[in-house]
Amino acid sequence: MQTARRIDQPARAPIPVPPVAIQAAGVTVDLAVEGLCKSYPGRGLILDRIGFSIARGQSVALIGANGAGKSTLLRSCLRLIEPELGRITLLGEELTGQKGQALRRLRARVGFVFQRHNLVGRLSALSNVVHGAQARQSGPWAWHQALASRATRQEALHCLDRVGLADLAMERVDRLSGGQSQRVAIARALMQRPALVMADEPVASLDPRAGEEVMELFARLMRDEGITLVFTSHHLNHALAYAERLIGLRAGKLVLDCASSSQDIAQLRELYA
Amino acid sequence: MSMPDLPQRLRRPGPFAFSLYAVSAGMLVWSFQGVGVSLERIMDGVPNIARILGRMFPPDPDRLGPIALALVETFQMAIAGTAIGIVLSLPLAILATPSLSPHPVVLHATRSLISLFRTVPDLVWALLFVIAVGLGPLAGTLAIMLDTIGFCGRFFAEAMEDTDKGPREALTALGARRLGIVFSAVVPQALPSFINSALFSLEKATRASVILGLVGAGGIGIELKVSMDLFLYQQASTIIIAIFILVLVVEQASAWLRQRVQ
Repeated sequence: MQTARRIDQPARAPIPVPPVAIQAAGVTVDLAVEGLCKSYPGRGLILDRIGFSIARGQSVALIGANGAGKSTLLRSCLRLIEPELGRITLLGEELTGQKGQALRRLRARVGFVFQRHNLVGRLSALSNVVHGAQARQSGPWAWHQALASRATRQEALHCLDRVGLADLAMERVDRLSGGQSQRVAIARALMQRPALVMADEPVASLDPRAGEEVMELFARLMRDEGITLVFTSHHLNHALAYAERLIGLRAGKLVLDCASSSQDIAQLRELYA
Repeated sequence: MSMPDLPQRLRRPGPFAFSLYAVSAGMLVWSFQGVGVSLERIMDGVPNIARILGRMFPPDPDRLGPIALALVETFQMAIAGTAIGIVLSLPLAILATPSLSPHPVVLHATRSLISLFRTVPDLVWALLFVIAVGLGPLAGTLAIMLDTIGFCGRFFAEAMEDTDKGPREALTALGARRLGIVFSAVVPQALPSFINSALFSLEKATRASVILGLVGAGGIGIELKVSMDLFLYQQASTIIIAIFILVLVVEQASAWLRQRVQ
């Protein structure tokens, strides 16, 4: 059984999945972060020299109290928030310093699911999923389902079917429940045909039952497709159930990196102390 | 424990507020004197207004055909000018939206252009276009077009800036291009506001197109001017009633449509 490594304390056990070991074993690294720093005026360092790497197909939960830097870290990994220092390697390519088309091309291979779904409320579920095709198509063909090719519409419907919403394809998303909306957001991410999916508190705005259903569906889809999954969560039971690996943050510092099987809820609650 | 004194109904103004009130009152008196506002002259004018109104009735239906045609032309000017204006407003509004504009220079240039179109009165644009393209409805249509760009350009930009930023972030995260983000995430959210602004613009254009005829820019305005100049008050009243019906119908239809747009 692997044991937690608390970065701010002397290591008490081997690092569960050290980056060097992954590379040495010939495992593909989908996301590698080195020395990542981010600060905001008046708030000091939000991310303090964060470093880790995630192997292809792994599911990783980022945990920590409010303000620990989880969402900032996740957004920084895609440069939705610009880090001040550090290096990010995404799907084998250097993300740091990329601009324009090169940056868009890298982002296109990463699905991102937001806490508040971030769907266009007045458009149908199908149109929102078709938007995912903008990851690989330019021009107006993926702006709306009515403009999309038959193949794109068919693929979008298939993505909706995978999240169990094919029968609501033409429903406006602002008329869907929170759980259904998040499923549409997952379908949009699938439409990108991603190699890696990041999710920022994907079930935080849902009631416990809907949250459980969405998380179950989400984790299953990623596992079935072999997609690497990185998600933030306040639900420690979700982190333990759906992630193989836990990365813990406290006040912007990486303080925990371990296999989820090595932890229980009582131990993880220390992070929130 | 003793109860505090009852507060004063009105606060005593401070030196700044007192100066502001004094300057405002002074400006009001100065303006009234400047334009010669006099209750005596207004009272003297009431019988004249009553006499003119008396001479307007009953309305003269003899020239109903030509008046109807001029009214149709007026409405056509309003529709055409508004439609072209709305189409041209959209790209300008995108460039004038702070979070969508590609560069601060472009942002300020387009905002200044839109302000220019809005602040110069449509009658002045009509005078310029009468010189440029000659008398007739085309000059009026072009004046309405610029006025619509000034109105819709500003309100379209504000509507787009106010949209939820979440969908934009989602599309940025998936690698969408700037134009894709605008037309997939921003425009659909701002569409109800666009339709409202466009309908207000059509109402405004309908009222404006009546006046533009006075400077020879087409429409029913010229009919009204000729009738008034020739003291044909009964004919003028027919024209005024026709204008009233047109504006009322457009306003009612616009209000009905706005209620249905969400």
